[in-house]
Amino acid sequence: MSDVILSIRGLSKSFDLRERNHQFTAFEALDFEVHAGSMTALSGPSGSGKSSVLRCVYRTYLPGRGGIHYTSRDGEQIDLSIVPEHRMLELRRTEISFVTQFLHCLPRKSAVDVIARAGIQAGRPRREAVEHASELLRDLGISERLWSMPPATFSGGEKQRVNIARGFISRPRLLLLDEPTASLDAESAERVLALVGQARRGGTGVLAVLHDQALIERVADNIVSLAAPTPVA
Amino acid sequence: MSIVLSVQNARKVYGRGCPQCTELTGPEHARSQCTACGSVVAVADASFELHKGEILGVMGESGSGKSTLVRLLNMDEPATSGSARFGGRELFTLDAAQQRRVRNRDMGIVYQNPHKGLNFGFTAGGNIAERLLAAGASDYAGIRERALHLLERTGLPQARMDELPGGFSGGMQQRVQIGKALATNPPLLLLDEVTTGLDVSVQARILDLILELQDELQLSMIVVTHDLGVIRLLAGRTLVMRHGHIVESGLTDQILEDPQHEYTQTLVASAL
Repeated sequence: MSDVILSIRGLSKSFDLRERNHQFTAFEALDFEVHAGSMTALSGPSGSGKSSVLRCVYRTYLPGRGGIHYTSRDGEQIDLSIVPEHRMLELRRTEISFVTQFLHCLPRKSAVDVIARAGIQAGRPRREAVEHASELLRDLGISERLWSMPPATFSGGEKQRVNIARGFISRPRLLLLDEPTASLDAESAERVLALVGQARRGGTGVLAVLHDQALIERVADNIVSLAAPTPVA
Repeated sequence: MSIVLSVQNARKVYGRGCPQCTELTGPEHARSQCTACGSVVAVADASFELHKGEILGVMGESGSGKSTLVRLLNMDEPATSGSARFGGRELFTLDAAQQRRVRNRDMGIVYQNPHKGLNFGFTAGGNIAERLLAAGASDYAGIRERALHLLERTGLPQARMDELPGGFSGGMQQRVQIGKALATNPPLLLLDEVTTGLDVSVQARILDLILELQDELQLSMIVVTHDLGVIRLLAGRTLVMRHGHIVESGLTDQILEDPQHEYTQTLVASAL
């Protein structure tokens, strides 16, 4: 068995909307692992909490009960549910990438700069980061005339690919993907999957939310099924 | 990462204060004025750390105490109690001369209102020169060269260096303020609602400049704003203030996507 990068134990998440005095559970008592070089896919109907799991691992959501045990590049065991904020920010820069469905970036930066910045923050020299950013855009099939344009003007699928490039440039040890191919045509989707495959061959562990069951069967090594949300009484 | 600034229990009370101030004010009472003695607890026991190269967001509505917190750190007003360690010094107990020294050399501040940060009787270059002179510079050519460099870096056309800021647009005035704040290469910048009131396109350029400066100079910054979009783009971590108290702190995306405190939840849900 390959190295375990991420081990989720008894993880639950619920939300407490105080103003409305309303609580609801996103998911409960999950256990699973992500191994180096492999992909674990989260599967389940809409509202079953798939994206919430990714957000808990990335600490965009505060995890509820349970443990999120991460093994860092230098072998340190870290519980991401309680790791200090500055350490989490450092891990995000250097080891853990999250490709969400939406691109948040500075409004006027060029696509290359938006992507390269993530590389620079991971500690790479500027020139190298810019070269790598261009390479990723090429691999993802973004036309060269767009590279120096701000992504705000791009189509949904182009933005999504900029977001993906930004997630890959730090050569993360753990990659969290939320519907990475959802807004892409078949050819672009294949390019993204090729990039994911390449990262996996380099040892990256992937935790992905994918909408398409056939795709899950094709690319995932492990499948974690989440139950449909329980109706609120 | 090294700690640049460590604030412990910073407190600012306007008025005499009384033993009941703490009990009778704060978010759970929805007020910062003490009903027993009438004093206003503008900042109540704020504690946080700022690391090198980090941008810390401080958000909250008008009257939450966020600007008062910045004024305490800039030593514009004395703190009632608490401590703020910065560069091996305790800011809250410095004498006036030491305060000036720290303010002139080791930190920079940029205000929402350029009239607070700039002398409108001096040219753009003159404003920067004034700060360099206050920090002990004396070589005229060197000062002019540094001013030119800073204005160029912050994006002010060189040709306008010798003009008065009164003739500049709001965005250009902010650029001069940022240039002035950076003049002495301080490790800490305090930014108080710097993009509020600017056109969105101008705002974007100023935000862009701030992030570039963070990348290039590894500056630590405290960014006070009520604009959640600005917080999202700039700050890695964020404090949420209400009625003088820090009601919540955390990673910025967590504060915006999974806020824990009722007030933050309302604030985030109200954002456009």
